[in-house]
Amino acid sequence: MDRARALHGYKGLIRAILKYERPSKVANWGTLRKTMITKLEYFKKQNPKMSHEDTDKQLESWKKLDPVNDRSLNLYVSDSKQLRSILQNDIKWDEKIVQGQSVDEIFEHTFDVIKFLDNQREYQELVDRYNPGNKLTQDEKIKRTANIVGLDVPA
Amino acid sequence: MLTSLKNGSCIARSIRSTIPRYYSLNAQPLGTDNTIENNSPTETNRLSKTSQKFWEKVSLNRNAENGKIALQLDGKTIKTPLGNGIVVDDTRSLLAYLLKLEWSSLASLSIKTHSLPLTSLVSRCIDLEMTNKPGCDPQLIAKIGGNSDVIKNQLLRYLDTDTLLVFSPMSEFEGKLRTAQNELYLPLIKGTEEFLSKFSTKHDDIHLQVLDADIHGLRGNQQPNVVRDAAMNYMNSLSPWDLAILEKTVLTTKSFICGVLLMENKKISDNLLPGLKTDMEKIVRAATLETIFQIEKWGEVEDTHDVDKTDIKRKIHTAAIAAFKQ
Repeated sequence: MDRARALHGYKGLIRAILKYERPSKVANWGTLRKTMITKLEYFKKQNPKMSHEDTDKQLESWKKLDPVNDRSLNLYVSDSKQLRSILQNDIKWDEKIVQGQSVDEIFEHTFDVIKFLDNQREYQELVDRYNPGNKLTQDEKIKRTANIVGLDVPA
Repeated sequence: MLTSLKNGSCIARSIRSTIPRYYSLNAQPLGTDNTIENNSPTETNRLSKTSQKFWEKVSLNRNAENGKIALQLDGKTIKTPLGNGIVVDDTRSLLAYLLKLEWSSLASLSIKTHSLPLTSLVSRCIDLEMTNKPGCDPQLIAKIGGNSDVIKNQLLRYLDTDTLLVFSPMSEFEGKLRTAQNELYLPLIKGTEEFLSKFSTKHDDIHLQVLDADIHGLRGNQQPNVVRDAAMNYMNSLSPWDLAILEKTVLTTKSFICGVLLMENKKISDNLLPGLKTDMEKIVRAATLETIFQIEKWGEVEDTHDVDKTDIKRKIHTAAIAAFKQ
């Protein structure tokens, strides 16, 4: 009974963490993709005489990478070891059981953590949805402001 | 000339003293520093000004000797707005992990003031702890919004018109709201009365003054002195860390009782009064019961009700995570 509950709680926690981390992971992969493509193309330009089979292959794979839709980038929690060690060692399960304390509160707390992660993510999504201008860079904002009155910002 | 100047300053001062300070404080946390710009060179301040990611790696540094865990960016401990390091006890390692998760899942440009709820609460806890140590710089105390006595007195005012102590008239929502309030609030009030009685100096039985719209109509509400004393004694029994969490909960729910409920339910011990036993979802429901009924009747307003609903949930659960000790 307790084993099933613990498994349920742990699974839920991992799922919540993955969902919580996803937006930043997507953003990080996006920046990495951009820098890698620039680097490789610069390398090609610098050495025009070399054959670029390998570089082209790498370029191809980086260009194909689509962080928003690639689910495989989001299959792991980056530091699950630390989390497991905290859940296993820091919460003194055995002592608690020996002392006859109830472990219900700890299970309950796991679900509170999950709810926190979910609600925090949801809140951020909602704020972003209702304030679409928030995520733009300053340059982009200026460009759009100029566009409203039919002007273009010089490149 | 001199006298008129003196008079002028007198007038200015008298106006200032006649306007109660709390009117301007109502909407914001009690302790945020919004008078002077805060320029201490700390990571938290830098982030709030630039909203740019300026680090590579977030990590936890565990010191086995003193049993503390420090939250670090590129090997340097993150500091709170007042310049104290974000270091938590070993017994809160789950909190430390979640703090790290919060920082590691930030992406540049999307960092907003609401992106780090746990860090801001923990910072407040740590800052309050530090400013409550004897011999602290009075300037720092002023920055955090006064010492803990000021905070306690401000919090006490929430007990007078507590969300859980105000009952709506039977005529509203065909009596459905009142029935739900009776069902949800009365046992919690009873539990709180029993709990606060333990803190009464004269060992009296505590009775919370309820504001019932059917009997009392529209008027203010005030708790008798016995109740206020007991509540004060309760707050005096809390550590500065716990006081900061109580403050967060009370300000979020507009209810002192909710604060007591959260603190008691997250303190793992076997002597929790059965009348106080509840969970976070129930606290959120109790604090927003009237809104829930309004949404049911009139519909949910976009960009208001949905945002508020997740907001209060995330805040309550933030407080719950910070209050929890393994």
